[in-house]
Order: sequence, then structure tokens, then C-alpha cells
Amino acid sequence: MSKSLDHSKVFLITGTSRGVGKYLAEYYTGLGHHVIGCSRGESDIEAGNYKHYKVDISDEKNIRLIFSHIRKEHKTVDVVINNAVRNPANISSALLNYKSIEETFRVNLFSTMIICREAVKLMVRAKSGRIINIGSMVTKSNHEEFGGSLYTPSKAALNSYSRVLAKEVYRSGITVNVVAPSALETDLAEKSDQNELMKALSRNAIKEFGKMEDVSNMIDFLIKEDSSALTGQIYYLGGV
Amino acid sequence: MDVLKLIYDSIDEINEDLEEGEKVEKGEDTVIYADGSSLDSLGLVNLITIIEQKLEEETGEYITIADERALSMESSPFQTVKTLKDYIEILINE
Repeated sequence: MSKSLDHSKVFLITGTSRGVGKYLAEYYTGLGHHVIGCSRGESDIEAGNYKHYKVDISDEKNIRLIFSHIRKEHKTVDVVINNAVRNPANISSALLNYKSIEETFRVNLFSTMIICREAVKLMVRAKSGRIINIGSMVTKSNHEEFGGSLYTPSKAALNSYSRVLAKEVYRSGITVNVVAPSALETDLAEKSDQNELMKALSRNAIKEFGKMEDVSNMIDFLIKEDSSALTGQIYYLGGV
Repeated sequence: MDVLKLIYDSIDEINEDLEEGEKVEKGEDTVIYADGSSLDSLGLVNLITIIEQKLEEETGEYITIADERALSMESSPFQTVKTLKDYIEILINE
């Protein structure tokens, strides 16, 4: 790889106003990296090496705006963490409406694909890069939840997309992986059907909620320069 | 704007990373991405990216070359330098 990933890097993290995204933005700014974050809401992260975009990334124009900033300010992006997610309330498949399906896939899949497209353009030139897509334990066989017919297939599609992208870009020094936590104590988990969530956790080796640090530990490992041969994988956390 | 020069400048940049025998020739008939081309898919991504960035520097606007229309055309605008030049000229004149 032409450029070390072990020194100060430029990160793009989506969904940084709360939950895992906020934790990761604070964690990596704390380590001295430049972090560009975005969410539909405001951010209270005050670090000088953090830049926030209050935008809806389901709109392609907003993604272009962020990458225009990255090109002008940083020339490239070293690490992209696609974390923004829409997790609609569980509902029977028989009651789904088209708008909910479309909105879920726009955030959980389409925006990730557009962000990866723009990131790959920069990373190909730099001949290095790390893409981490945040997945979910629900894509593991037998972890499907009743009523998860929007969220689950959107995350399953993300897994497939990541594996295809990994094959396409590996020769350019870019790796693409999915980090799939079990369940973390976030707003997202609170919104989920608690009975279904506890049932899913009960199938894991670790039956308690995971920690934010589990996610950053895994990402730290994957973005190391030495991890250049680890790509196209789905890393389930929490003994899923 | 001299689009042909912009493409040639971009070819110069990608040639810096290519070995002798792999370098892309500068000529309007040069095959960019089709049978017989020296660029693979990532090479094409690299070339398009450089061209898009140069266009942004010149026009102040980010123009996506591989847009929906380009991907749906019967005859790909990425076949030769000339077809690419013609397509970019359409985009910047819109």
C-alpha cells in the first residue's frame, strides 16, 4: 500500500448524532484523526478535528456535497464507516407500504452504495482505503425477527453488496468489510421489539447487550495496514 | 474549455502509474474501455475520477460523467477518447 493507514487518517462516518456513530466519531477524533460526520440531526461533538454535516444522506446531492468538501480539504478519505440506518417499527409484511420500503432501502442501502462509489473514486487514486459497513446480527440465519421484513433484507443486501465491492476493489488496496454487532444499548435497540430482541440475543454465545468498544475494537483491527488481506467478510460480534 | 486537452492531461496522470506497454496513448481514436483497451474497470474509474476533478477545478461544479444516461446509452461514451470528449461536451453545455 502506498500510504500508511496507521497514522492520522481522514474518516467519514455516517449517522454521527447518536448511538454507535456518535461513539465512533468521538473515539476517532479522540485519537487525533480527522472525522467528517453527518446525520439528519445536529451534532454536539465539539472536537476541532470534527466536521459535521446536518444532511439527509438519502439525497444523493448531499453525499456529493460531503465529498466535494473531502476533495477540497483532504484530497482523499482513508476510512469510511457507513453506519446511518433507518429501523422502522416492526410490522407484518402484509401491511408494508411502498414508501416505507423505499425510505428504508434509500438510507440503509442506496446511500451506502453512493457513498462507496464516491469513496472508491478517491481511494483508487490513493491506492488504499478501508470501507466498513455496519451490519446487523439479524442477517445471520435464525436471527430474523418477526416483523423485521424491512430492516432485515436491507441489511442482507448490504452484506451482498459489500462482498461484491470487495472483489472489485481489492487490487487497488481497498478493503470492504461488514461489522455486524449483536445488539447495543442504543436508541435503535430501544425502538426494536424487546421480546424479539431478547429472543435473538438468547441464541448468541453472549446473551447480554454488546459494548460500543466491541465495535471500535473490530474496526481498529480492520483498518490496520496489516489487515490488507481481510476483505469481503461479515464479522458478527457478540457470539452471534 | 478544451475538453480534449483535459482528457489528455488526465491520461498523463494515470500513465504515471502504468508500466511501459500498458500506458494509454493520447489520440482521439484511442480505445479507453472496450475490447483491446489497456484500462481495466478500476483504471477506467481512476481516469473518470481525474477528469471529474479537473472539470470541477475548471467549472466549479462537480459533474458526474458516469451518470444514468451514460450507462443506458446503446453505444458507451467510454469507448474511445473521442466518444468520451463528445459526451463530456454535452454534459458541460447543458
